[in-house]
Amino acid sequence: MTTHAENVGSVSVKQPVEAKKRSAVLDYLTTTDHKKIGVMYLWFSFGMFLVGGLFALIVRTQLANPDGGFVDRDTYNQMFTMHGSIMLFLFIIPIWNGWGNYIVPLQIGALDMAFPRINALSFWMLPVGAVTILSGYFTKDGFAANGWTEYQPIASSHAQAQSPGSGTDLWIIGVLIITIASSLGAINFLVTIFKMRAPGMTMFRMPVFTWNIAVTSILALLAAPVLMSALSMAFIDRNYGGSFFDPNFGGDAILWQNLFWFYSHPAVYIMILPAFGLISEVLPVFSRKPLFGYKAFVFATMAIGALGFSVWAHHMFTTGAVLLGFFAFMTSLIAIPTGVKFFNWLATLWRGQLSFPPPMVFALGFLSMFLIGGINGMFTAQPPIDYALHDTYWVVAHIHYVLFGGSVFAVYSAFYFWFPKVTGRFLNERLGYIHFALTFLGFNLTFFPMHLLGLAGMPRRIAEYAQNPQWQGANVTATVGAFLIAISTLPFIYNVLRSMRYGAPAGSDPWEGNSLEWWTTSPPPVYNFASLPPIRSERPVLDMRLEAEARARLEAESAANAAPDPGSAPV
Amino acid sequence: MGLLTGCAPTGGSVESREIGDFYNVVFFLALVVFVGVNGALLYFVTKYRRRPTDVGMPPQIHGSTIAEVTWTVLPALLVFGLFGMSWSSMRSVDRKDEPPNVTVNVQGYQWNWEFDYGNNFKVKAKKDADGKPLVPLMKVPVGERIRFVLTSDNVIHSFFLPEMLFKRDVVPGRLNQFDITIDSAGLYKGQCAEFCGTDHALMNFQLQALNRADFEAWVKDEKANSCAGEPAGTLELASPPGQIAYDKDCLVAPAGQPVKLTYTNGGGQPHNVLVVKSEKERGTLFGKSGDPIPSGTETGEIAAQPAGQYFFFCQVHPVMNGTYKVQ
Repeated sequence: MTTHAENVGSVSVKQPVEAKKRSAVLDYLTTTDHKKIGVMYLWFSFGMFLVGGLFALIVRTQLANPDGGFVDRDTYNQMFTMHGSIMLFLFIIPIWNGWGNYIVPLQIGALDMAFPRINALSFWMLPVGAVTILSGYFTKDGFAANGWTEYQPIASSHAQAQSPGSGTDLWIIGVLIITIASSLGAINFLVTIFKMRAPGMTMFRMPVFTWNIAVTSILALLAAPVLMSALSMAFIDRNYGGSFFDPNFGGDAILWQNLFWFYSHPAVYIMILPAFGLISEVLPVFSRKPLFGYKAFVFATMAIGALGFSVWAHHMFTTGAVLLGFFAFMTSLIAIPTGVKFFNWLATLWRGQLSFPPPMVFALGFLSMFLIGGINGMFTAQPPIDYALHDTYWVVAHIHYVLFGGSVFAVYSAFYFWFPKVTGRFLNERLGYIHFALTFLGFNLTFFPMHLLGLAGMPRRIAEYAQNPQWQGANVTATVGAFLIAISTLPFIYNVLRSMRYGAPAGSDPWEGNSLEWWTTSPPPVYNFASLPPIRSERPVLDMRLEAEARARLEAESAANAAPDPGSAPV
Repeated sequence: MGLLTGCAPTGGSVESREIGDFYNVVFFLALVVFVGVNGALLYFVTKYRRRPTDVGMPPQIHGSTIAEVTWTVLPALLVFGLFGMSWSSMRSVDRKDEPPNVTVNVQGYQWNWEFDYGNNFKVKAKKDADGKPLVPLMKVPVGERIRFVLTSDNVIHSFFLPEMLFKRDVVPGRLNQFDITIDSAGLYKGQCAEFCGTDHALMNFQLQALNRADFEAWVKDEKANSCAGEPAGTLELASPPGQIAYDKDCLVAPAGQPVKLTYTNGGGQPHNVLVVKSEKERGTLFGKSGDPIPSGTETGEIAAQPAGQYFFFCQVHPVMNGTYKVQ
């Protein structure tokens, strides 16, 4: 295991002379280093996760009582709007940008992202967007309040008694800024991945996480302009007397839904594909096997990306305005590549040597929870069943099993997996298991009962349900679960803060990893790599490890036999 | 998971049983997938955990074309089969090949419902003593084909009958409709399912399915009771400031003599009031067409009319309307 250190040491690259010790704050504010930008993404978006979680707690507290009463109905509408907007636009999407930023250049053996300054720009636009959205609080009518989907015409100022204040305008501008940032980031990732791979790193030797970031970036690049247009149209409707979306003035109410979901359905894959990639890194490492069916996996990712553009109207089955058969069929087709991935993951575990440190535990949690998110989606993919379940709590359960059971479990797995690379220290294992147990329990307590509520007919986005007091039991369970999720973040936060300083030292390759990020030191130097190994497969670091072991074995044998040196036969 | 089948409400309509049966099929497949995948996961996790006795690397299996083809084709067959069922279920649930016995025009507005059965017969939310709207109750005959035609005047709502496992959006600028045959009598709940603003949660309604004779008796009663009161020669009508509503939906006047009507708009929204012979036949008895007033008072006289039911409405907001009854 000493090979890397020797390798790094053997090339005598001097540490660049530290010009002057600048303050760390100024350093981060002005940096164009992809690793520092990645770390800022992580801090920022995890912070936003906590903020979005606070909004969710208010929503859940309100719903513990059939009469509501914790906040008034207008405030409640603002709370679930902000919860959704923050979690999707400011947590899930950016946190994968963060990991992508940190890890992708390392995985392909690059020095940095292709456009370091654009990289910094696309990060710094996020807090600007966040502040813009959240500043709605200070306007007369508070935050935007029409759900994270901001359906029109309710969110246009023509609609009576709706969104009179500037909260919705600020939401539109904020999301516009975030979407532009996301497009810039996507271009940056694509150029980096296509043009800056190390010698020998062909496309089909790329780590699967990088592959998934590439497909994700293509989706973001193609879909984001549609959302930007829709947002601009909504802004014109609200402020300059336009009427794209208001039929009373010649517009079309369904147009918004078509445009919005044309972005937002691919956006679901923007949120989940990086998670697929991460899982496909973690499972092989902790099974000590290659990913089963690497190429099939890559093609399945591309298939999901492509199909993702043809299914947007499955969010609109009950509008009476879409071709049900086509969209139902395309939606069901997505189950095929997703199924391929699942089988490949299972086959990766098959006959492996599995160990269960926290990243693996979260990855296995991902498999079993995301599975439910896939299955309950197959119900709503059938139009007749969707007539019953659309816009009920079943859909809320579905989105959370996909994005929490899927993405968030994978995000946590990524933290435990790559934290040693970022800081050079392990996260505490015992706290990791406690964190997992609390998260798993809280998550299922919160979201499983929502299936039952959906079947019982409880619509989304209602502030109270005095007419249906029989829904209270499941709602109280969900509320208890939500607080458990909130508590579950505490051991994690404590663990991160403590382990940054006092965690056990990790070394450059703590997990016996496969991909190039494990070749360099932890944390990596500014220039990422002092040397690169030859890249002859999708697991270059493993190849080097095996070669070193084989050489050591041969040397031992030859010393014992006192036979002539057979030379270094590659394995 | 086992709970979910039991909880699937297989409601009171022919269509809902169709949907419920299909749900159960998907549920069974879902259960098989869930148990299969999680079972394999648990089995692998126990069986293949790393042991101290393990030497070297496990077999480095990179994949298998046969396996990939198998687990592409099998789910594909499943998906195609499911789609076939979905298609046939969809066609049967959405069929409109029979003419309906009763057509109800549903108007959604912020935040209540109005059910228009045609022929000047409408069911609106009644108001309690404080003027707050109550949950409106619509009735339909059991065992007959009912057509719901859905319209909205400003934002999107969704007409949701949970016990019929059915909803359809109420979209401004679109005429959505669906047919349903409710075959078990009873009182059912309904609710708006598409977020529509502040009081979205309060947009409830009730639907009662009852036999034909009772249904007809109800229509007759409602028609008679919907507008009642002492006839008066001087009538007043007003719109509260900023609201899209009249304070009354019924004005009662004596037959055979002219009547003085005073309308006051509290401001905030432009309104007017037109009194017409009937909703369909719009011979104007009072008011100037195309002339909304932003605020203030308008007074005029309605010429003597024979006894009967007439109609008044606001041209800017057709949802504001009521009955002008002469007796």
